[in-house]
Amino acid sequence: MTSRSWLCVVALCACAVSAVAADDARVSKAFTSRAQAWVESDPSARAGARLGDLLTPEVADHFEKIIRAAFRGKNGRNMRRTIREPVPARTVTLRVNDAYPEDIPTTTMPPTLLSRLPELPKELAYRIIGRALVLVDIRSNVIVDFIPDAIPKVR
Amino acid sequence: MRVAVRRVVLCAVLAAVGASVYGQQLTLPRQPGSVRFAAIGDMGTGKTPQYEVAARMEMFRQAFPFDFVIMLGDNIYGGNSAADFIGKFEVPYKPLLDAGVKFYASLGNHDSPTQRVYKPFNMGGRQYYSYRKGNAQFFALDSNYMSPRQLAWLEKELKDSDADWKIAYFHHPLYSSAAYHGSSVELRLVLEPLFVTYGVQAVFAGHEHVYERVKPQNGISYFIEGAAGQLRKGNLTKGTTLTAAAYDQDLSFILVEIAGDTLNFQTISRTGMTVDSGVILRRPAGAPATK
Repeated sequence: MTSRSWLCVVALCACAVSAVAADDARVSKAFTSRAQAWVESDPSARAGARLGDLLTPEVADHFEKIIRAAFRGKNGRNMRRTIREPVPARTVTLRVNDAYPEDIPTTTMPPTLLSRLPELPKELAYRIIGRALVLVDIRSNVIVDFIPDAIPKVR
Repeated sequence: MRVAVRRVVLCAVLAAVGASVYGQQLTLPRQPGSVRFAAIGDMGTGKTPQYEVAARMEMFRQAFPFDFVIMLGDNIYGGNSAADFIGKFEVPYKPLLDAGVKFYASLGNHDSPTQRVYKPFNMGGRQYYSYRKGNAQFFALDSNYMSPRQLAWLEKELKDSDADWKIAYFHHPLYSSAAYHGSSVELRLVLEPLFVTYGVQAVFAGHEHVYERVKPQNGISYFIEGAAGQLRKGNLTKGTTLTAAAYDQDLSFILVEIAGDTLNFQTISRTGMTVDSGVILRRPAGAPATK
């Protein structure tokens, strides 16, 4: 392969990487805007909320990618320790608009994961229940949306 | 209701019997104008041991009139109804509340974020906040959710503070010799550099249902007091290089007095026994933090 061909390959790779990054940024930005609109919406309008309204399939894919990368990273083992509960909580059936179960302790959100996920409006928080990533409204402690199997299984 | 009445009577009896006896065991200097507080964690069970520790706190307050209590999380276990707040906070600490003692809460993993609007917890609707008492500034953090927003806030608050003493408290311990949870390494990675850079001298946490004072790490004194409502007896790993002093045989609470450049502490068991005490000297501003 000539040096000109190599340059073309490198340029194409760089374009592909920047296109993926731009797409990820677009998905994050759209999610953050939707989350902000949700926070400002009339509570009565949220009564009919359904799974995936905020964490759409596109957002879920994006988040799962972020979470997988974070758990594979150099702090992955510490993150596992952070979210591990010594006594496994009971199995919870999650439903949008249900109250966050009072008898389930809050799992510490790993700070290194929080630094990678899009920042939420201050009225919302990420939680981990089992393998689900859950969005909670901290004003009412109600489940806003969730991604069921977002946290990778322990190998 | 009958149980609540029994507990109030029990507290009154303990107070009457013990006030004069245990007041004499106080090792704190009680200097005029000093900042005086108590630290309790993992207390909100509403069960007899919590009431007994609360009664002991009131006894010691007679001899050492502390003005406020820092709450290290797991303030209310198992529910957030009005009855929970009454039985797990208002009744056990009634003598302290009646005496004007203020409580400043931080959130534990068993606490609902809605506790931040409960007035007697003095959180002002915030999950993390700071306040000044004399020459000390306190930083109450939410270690369940150490977001970039909270870290940025903490850095600004620490940077802007000109207090002689900077004291942080939150639920999850950065260092721990207890077997149940252990050290919160991920939190340590993001918090300790800020503490070192901006001169935090003492850190209080709960989560482990024991008492432990960790040997100074990077110049910072770390306390765990998660045994003010329940106990994991014998849970401390013996012989670790981390422990300066520890107690896992009974419930306990800490009394603290800050006067000028000294911070005195005394840890007291449910039965009134002093299980640890000592003095921390303030690092001069700009002095390097050493391990």
